[in-house]
Amino acid sequence: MEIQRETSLPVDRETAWQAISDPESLEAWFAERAEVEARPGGRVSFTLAGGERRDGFVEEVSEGERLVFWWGAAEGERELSRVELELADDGDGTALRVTETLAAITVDSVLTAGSGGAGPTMLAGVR
Amino acid sequence: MASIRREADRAGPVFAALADATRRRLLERLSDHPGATATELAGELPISRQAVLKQLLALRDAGLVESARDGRQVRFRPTPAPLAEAMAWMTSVGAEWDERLDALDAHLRR
Repeated sequence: MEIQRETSLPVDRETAWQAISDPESLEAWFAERAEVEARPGGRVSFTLAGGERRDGFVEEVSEGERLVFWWGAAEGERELSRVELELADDGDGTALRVTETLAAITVDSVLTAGSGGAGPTMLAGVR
Repeated sequence: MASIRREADRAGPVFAALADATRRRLLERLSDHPGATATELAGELPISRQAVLKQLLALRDAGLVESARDGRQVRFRPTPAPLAEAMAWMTSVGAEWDERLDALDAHLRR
């Protein structure tokens, strides 16, 4: 199950990259509080408006191009979904494509499987 | 003020299963006659029992239909939950991203 949105941002690629990857910038539009360790296997933690917390980890960081992370609710049903944020030049601005895919696995089974780096490796073969 | 935005949502196996007209008709018939066998359904449609069975199994793989043995027969019935869940997920997650992208737009235009 997947949703996808594409939008055009009125800024250059570098500014767009900062907006989607820098925790301080993310707190301006993505979440009330954001923690991102921007490296494969790095942890992410977001507190959304309304107080819901989502934790997860980074799958891929391609500076200026793509940020991919997995996340799931920190409490309750912990189904993971995969979020992919991709940037591309679009005239004077930058195109952002967001793809969120629901995964049929839970947060616990992945995060407890050893160190933070285990996550993306384990999930390499998962749809 | 809002920039042009495109959407392209995919609900994976659930909606892929529903992308076929015959499968949709089968699901419809099953909703009206839960517990029907492949033979009974084939009798109502212009396709073979074999083809009906194949489509019913595809629907079952997608979680839209369940089957149960009744003696030597197999009876099928619809399970609407996956469809509703899929739509609920896509609706709420889609709405979340629409809000975030509005906020991003506002943030960058400041």
